[in-house]
Amino acid sequence: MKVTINKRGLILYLILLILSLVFTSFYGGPVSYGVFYALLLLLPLSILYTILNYNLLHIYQEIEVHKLVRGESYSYRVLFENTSVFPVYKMGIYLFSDRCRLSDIKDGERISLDSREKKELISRITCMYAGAYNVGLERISLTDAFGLYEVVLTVPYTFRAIVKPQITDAATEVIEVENLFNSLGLKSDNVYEDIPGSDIRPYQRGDSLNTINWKASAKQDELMVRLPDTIENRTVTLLLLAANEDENKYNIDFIKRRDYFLEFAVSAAWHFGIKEIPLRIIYPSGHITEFIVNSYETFLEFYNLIADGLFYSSNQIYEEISRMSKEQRGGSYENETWIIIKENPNPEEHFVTICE
Amino acid sequence: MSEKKLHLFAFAIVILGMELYLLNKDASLDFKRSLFVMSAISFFFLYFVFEQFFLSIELEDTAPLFSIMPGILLYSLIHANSEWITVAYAAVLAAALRLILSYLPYKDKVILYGTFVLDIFVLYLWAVQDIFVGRFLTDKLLIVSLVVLTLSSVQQIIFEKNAQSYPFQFFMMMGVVLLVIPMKQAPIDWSPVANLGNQLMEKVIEASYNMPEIFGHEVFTTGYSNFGTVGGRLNKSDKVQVVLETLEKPFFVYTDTETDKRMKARRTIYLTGGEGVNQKNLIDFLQLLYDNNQTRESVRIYSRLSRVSIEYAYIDTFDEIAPENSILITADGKEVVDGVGARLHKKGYQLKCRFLEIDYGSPTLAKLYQNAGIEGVKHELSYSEACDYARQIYGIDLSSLMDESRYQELKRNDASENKKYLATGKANDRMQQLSKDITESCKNEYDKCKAIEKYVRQYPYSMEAVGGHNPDSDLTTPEGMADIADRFLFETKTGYCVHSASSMVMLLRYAGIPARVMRGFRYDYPFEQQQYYYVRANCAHTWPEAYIENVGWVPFEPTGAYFVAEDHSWHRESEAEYNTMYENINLNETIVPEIPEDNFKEDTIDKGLEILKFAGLFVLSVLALLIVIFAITLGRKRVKYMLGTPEDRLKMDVVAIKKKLAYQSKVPTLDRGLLFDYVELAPNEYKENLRGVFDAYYRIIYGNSGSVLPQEGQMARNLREQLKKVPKE
Repeated sequence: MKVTINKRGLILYLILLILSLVFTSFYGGPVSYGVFYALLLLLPLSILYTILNYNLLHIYQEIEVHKLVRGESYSYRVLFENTSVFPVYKMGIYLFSDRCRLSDIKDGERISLDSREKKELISRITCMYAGAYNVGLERISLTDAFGLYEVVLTVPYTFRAIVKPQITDAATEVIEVENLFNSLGLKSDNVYEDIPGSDIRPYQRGDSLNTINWKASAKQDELMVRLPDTIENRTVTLLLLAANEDENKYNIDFIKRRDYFLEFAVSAAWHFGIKEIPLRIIYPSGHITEFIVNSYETFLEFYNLIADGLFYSSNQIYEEISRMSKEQRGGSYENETWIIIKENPNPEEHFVTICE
Repeated sequence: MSEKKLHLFAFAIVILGMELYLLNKDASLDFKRSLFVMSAISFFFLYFVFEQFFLSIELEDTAPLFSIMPGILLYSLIHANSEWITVAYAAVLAAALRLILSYLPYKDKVILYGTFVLDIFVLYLWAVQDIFVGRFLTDKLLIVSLVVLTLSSVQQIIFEKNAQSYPFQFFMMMGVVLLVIPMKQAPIDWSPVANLGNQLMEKVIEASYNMPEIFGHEVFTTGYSNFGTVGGRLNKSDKVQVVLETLEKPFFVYTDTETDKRMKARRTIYLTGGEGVNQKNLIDFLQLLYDNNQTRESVRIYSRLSRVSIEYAYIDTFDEIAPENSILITADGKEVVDGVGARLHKKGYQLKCRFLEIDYGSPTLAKLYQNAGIEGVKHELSYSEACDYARQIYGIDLSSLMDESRYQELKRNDASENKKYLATGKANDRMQQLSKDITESCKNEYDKCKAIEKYVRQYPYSMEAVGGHNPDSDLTTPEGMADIADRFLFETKTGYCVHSASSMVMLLRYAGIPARVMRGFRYDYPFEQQQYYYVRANCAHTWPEAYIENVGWVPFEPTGAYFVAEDHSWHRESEAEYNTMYENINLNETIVPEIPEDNFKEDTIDKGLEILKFAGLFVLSVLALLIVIFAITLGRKRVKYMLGTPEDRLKMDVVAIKKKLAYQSKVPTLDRGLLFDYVELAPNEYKENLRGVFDAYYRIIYGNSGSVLPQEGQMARNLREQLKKVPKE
């Protein structure tokens, strides 16, 4: 609640009140007392009227779909219902302009409602970030009859939208998707296959005789050996280390971070899913959850879950998933690649870490 | 335009107009302002309801005219009856206002700016003519209405630049709150601020006493008060105001003449406020006893010396509250003589009183009173004789109470002293005549007093009473008392102690007997002896005292709800002795006129019947009016049909047929705008013709040639008539 006092108006009101008090000190009867009491009661009754207006005003918000996609436009309606006999006059309506755009409702627009009147405003809404957060109407403002004050109040029932991220190529460069396209999997820098591959080089001492490619040696006129391919990692794991900031989850900075985080995760999942390469995703959803994306269908399932599915039920879960990420960074892994995405990295940390 | 605003504006105009009319009129105080104003605004609202009804039956322009008809009818019915003339005028005024305000061009602007004109007018009248000062409830109603309208107008003009206006409900809410806040006639008293801490406590206590005043000046609560009592409606309170402490028994024992058993009779004590020690009464009483050769034994029959200690509880007053005929009052060991103290007495203040308890109901004493005026003073007691006599009969040391010079001073009968107790205010012939009627057969002053007491006691007791014609009338002035008495004796005929006491005082004064009103408490002790006796606010009482020549001030009990002195007398001898000694005294046989019956119960019944009669007539008139309007509407349609073109007639026939078919259909019909839906609802034998009529209808509506064949018109008419005869399914 934020109250703005009109200082000039208040001073004028107090002067009138004092004058009427002086008048009543010299003359009795309803003429003087009537004016004095009316002025005296003006402010308390205005406050009472505002309280009545606020408490007996119901606001319902609705969007046509259950889950939205960032950047797409949907039909939105807000219904104001005044359940009291006291009309609501020139109520200001304020929107969550930092995270959504409404085409037909202006921020700061004023509406009045008669006794027991319902009024509906319809607009198109576009949510700017992925995640789960409040959109639409954020606050309302009410004023007294003589403009002595304006009080801004939060809407009793806000609308929490679940916004799915867009699928982009945000993750492409980082996880070397090209590499995956070519070999259908990540290659290790250090570990080699047991069977020689197709690359050849001149024989060096110590090379196994089994690796000598006799045909090539005959052509080159020197001994040539076949080199083994670097080993292909059999599974890729995506660890989503979401931030544990429950108190900041409606903060616009948090929403923006979560938006990029989700976009990245979904884009990565898309690239794996569409090529039917198994991708194990580990993420917090109350407890630590594992999800395998290996097809378009499984990707869609993950896509529908993830927008509002990242949360911790306790600090222990966060600690456990943090520990898991640290272990993966420090260790070496046979046949396994871990991609760790940290939502809110420290300055010395990276947003993405690939461990293999 | 808000109807609420219009009603409030009309309300203000009614009150203002009424006050202007009553300005300089003699009977302005008696005019039933509240009744007139409330009737007018009720009629105004009623006309509005009627107007809405007439608008609903499409009588747009003439709706206001029709709406006021019931009021005019009512006026014609009741204007000849003087009792209802106020209501009749209110009906007419409301009708005129309704008409004017309904047809007024630029109504919004007129009310918006007219409010300021009314404000100026009211302020002018307040400043110059001294009206709207809060004497009447209507003053407050007018000011509150104008405050509400003015605030709304100022808001609209200054803050909204005339574009819109803040909800009027807010200003109405303020008006309602203002109505329940009391508005005194006196300006704000700032003196309590000087001693804030002390006063704050007093105000809290006072607020609890005065809670009913929130609802106006008409309702009061029982409790000790000064003479500013106006006699308005009363609510009971059982707040303890005074605590009595005495070692004496709270009852007397006597032998019942019928059963010959020893019986207890509760003592009754009258505590007077603001009277103090009445030494004059004591020496007058001693003189009376001396002249009648009363001895120590004989005075014991009807008088004795008593003691009581009085402690103030929830009461704040400067008055000393002590028993009647107190001869010595002390507070903190100091003697208290005056009736009113210099400081405000609060809870815990204690008085010790010695007083002469006199049984005013004793037949012996009554005999002495009767003879006192006739025989006069036989031997004037000197100071020393009085001291001896007082010691002899009561054991009182008179010399310790007063010295000789004081005694001589009190002995001098100052005629001018009693003259002020004969003032009657403005001449009131009917009261004078009543006093004469009651007392003309009485032979002495005491009998006159008893006769008047008996007469006034016939009036029924009620706390649902009203004061005088002038709301400011109280017991402080003869005019105030006369006003309260006049209204009580001749008009309302019901009231409580304030009314009966003021009435008896005025009747006594008209009978030439000095009389005054006393206030305080009347307390009946319980049968069981207790350490403390709690005198509550509902024991607060007002009673008259009459000055009987050579006797002094004698109290009476004209309030019918309380026992008269004879009923709580402790002097209950055997019947034989009673009759032998006092055979000339039979007060119960004193013949007094009865309260005129014609204006009393029958009047109430008549009024009830009259209300019923008028209500019945009014309802019948309204019904008759509705029938007339219905007939007019029907006739208008018939004429329109007769004068219409064949096409118009066909259209009307189709509408009537649709209505009839929908009415007689068993299932609810949804009008989709398709006439052929209705064909299904018709009986089979009419379906063919119905299709023909509907075809013709569609042809004249949508077809190029908009004419109807005569046979089609006839078919529609016939169908309409035939369908009328079809019973409802």
